[in-house]
Amino acid sequence: MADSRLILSSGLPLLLLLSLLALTIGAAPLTYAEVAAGLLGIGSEEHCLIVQQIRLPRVLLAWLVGAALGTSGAALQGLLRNPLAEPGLLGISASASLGAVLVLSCGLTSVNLWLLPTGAMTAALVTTTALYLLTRQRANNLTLILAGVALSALASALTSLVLNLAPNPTDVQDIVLWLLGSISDRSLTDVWLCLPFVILGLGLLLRCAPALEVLALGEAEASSLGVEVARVRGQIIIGVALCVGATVAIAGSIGFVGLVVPHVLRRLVAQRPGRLLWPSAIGGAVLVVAADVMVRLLDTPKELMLGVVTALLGAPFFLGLVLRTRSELG
Amino acid sequence: MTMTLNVTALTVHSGQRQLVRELSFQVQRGELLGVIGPNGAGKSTVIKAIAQVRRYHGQITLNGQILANLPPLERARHVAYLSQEDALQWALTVEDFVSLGRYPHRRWWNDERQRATDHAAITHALHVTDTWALRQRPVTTLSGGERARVRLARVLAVEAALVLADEPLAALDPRHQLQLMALLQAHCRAGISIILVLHDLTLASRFCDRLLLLQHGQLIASGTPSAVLTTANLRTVYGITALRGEHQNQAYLLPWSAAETLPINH
Repeated sequence: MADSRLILSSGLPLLLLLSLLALTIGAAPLTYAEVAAGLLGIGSEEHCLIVQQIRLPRVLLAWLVGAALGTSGAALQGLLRNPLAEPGLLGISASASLGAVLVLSCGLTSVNLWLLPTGAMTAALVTTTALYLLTRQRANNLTLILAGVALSALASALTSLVLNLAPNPTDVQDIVLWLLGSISDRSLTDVWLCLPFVILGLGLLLRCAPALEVLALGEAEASSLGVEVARVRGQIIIGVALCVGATVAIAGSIGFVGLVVPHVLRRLVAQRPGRLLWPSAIGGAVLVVAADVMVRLLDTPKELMLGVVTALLGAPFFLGLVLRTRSELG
Repeated sequence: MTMTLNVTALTVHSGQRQLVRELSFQVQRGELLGVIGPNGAGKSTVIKAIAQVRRYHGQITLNGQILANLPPLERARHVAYLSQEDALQWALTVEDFVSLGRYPHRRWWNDERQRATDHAAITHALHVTDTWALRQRPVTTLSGGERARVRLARVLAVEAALVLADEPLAALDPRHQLQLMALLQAHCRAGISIILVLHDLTLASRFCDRLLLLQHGQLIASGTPSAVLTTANLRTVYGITALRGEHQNQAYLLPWSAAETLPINH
């Protein structure tokens, strides 16, 4: 308990500090005082507008995306008892993208804005369930990764098909850019669109913490200890689908957060899968806010997309992890 | 407190195949029941059915209550199960690992007294399995024998009236095999009932109160070790002959040679 408390008590202030920093950077640099005044609505009208309408949604989205992906990764790793499980690698994010792209290209968002997260979450749910069914017999790393690769490939193929058949080329360019994953130029409406689902999803995942702990023993012994394995499995699948679907619908796919965060924090909670969930939520938020700050501080001719940066940093990390577990994969 | 496990007409299918056929038996309080038989006889399947981790037909009752109808946590407080496969993935410390056995006793509120009981149960389990000194070590760094004892400690930490153990001796050296059998026997003397799957007929004949001999999912014989491990049963079921003797007033049996003729039905 002490370990996860320590992570929370040092993680939360870090998150708040980083977020404050994130609010000061941008085309018009602001001081901390100006940010504070802007947040409270007592600064100049311009500052209030910049902080509340432009920068705050971005920071809030970073929190939501990071917490959703970090917790989803930790919960999936616990359920599948596999350190390589992650929404991006397993094709859950790609499927959510497919769902969102379908809704976007059919112009359904003009019918109802909520259809966007709904489409993404439904697709994510289908994939998570398929993944579970494919790997439940023997949850070894190889089957899991291969199933993920296959589902990922299928989802991106279908996404390409949708884009290929799209009637309007400018729409296509927008969608492709959006697919790269970014939280810039989002409004508070976007935050509201994913907030309820992320909260619900996080709630479902965090409730599974004690059961995840016992699942470390394998499903048979866990069930003999009174864990209702089928129910826990269902809760995690739905929780992950809600978290990943809702955030992908708003921010596109931002990869590797769910892989890196639980991996880094696991040692700090003595490897206990149940104790990893809360810290992964905070850690995910810290990572995404930090990555977003970095994106804005880097002096590139065009602002880098957040998803591109997390993938560039995450992929080598994943390679390293694969090399270390190579013996198991063989 | 009395404890009676009643298994009636237990049948387990895997697709079209019958793994266990119409098996009935009873276990009383404080009994050490050994389940023996050649590979594929259905020993693990019987254990899994009693642990409710496998579908079955027939009825299993504990003290007159149908096990399948008990709420999962309540059932888990009465029946503890040690599976054959060691499926642990994460490098938990031995102490954290053993503490998982207290899951069925957990409360929704933070209960000082419950925590003290949990702590006592965990400490006791670590001591009797001779793993106290390992308690801070990650489970993944242990030797096979150490790990087997830690897994047993996890099961004992449940403090259930009935313990089901599927081949807990498999990875152990002779010293720890003997220690573990003596430990299980002592627990039975203290009132716990244990159903144990094992392959070692010498240990089975020495330590078990009663044996169930299975072949092709059917009960061939049950009763005291001397009544079950007859020359005829050993020949027809295992296809072996055995040496018999007596040492320190205990009868022992030593599998000696494969019989010339294969057992019937093989």
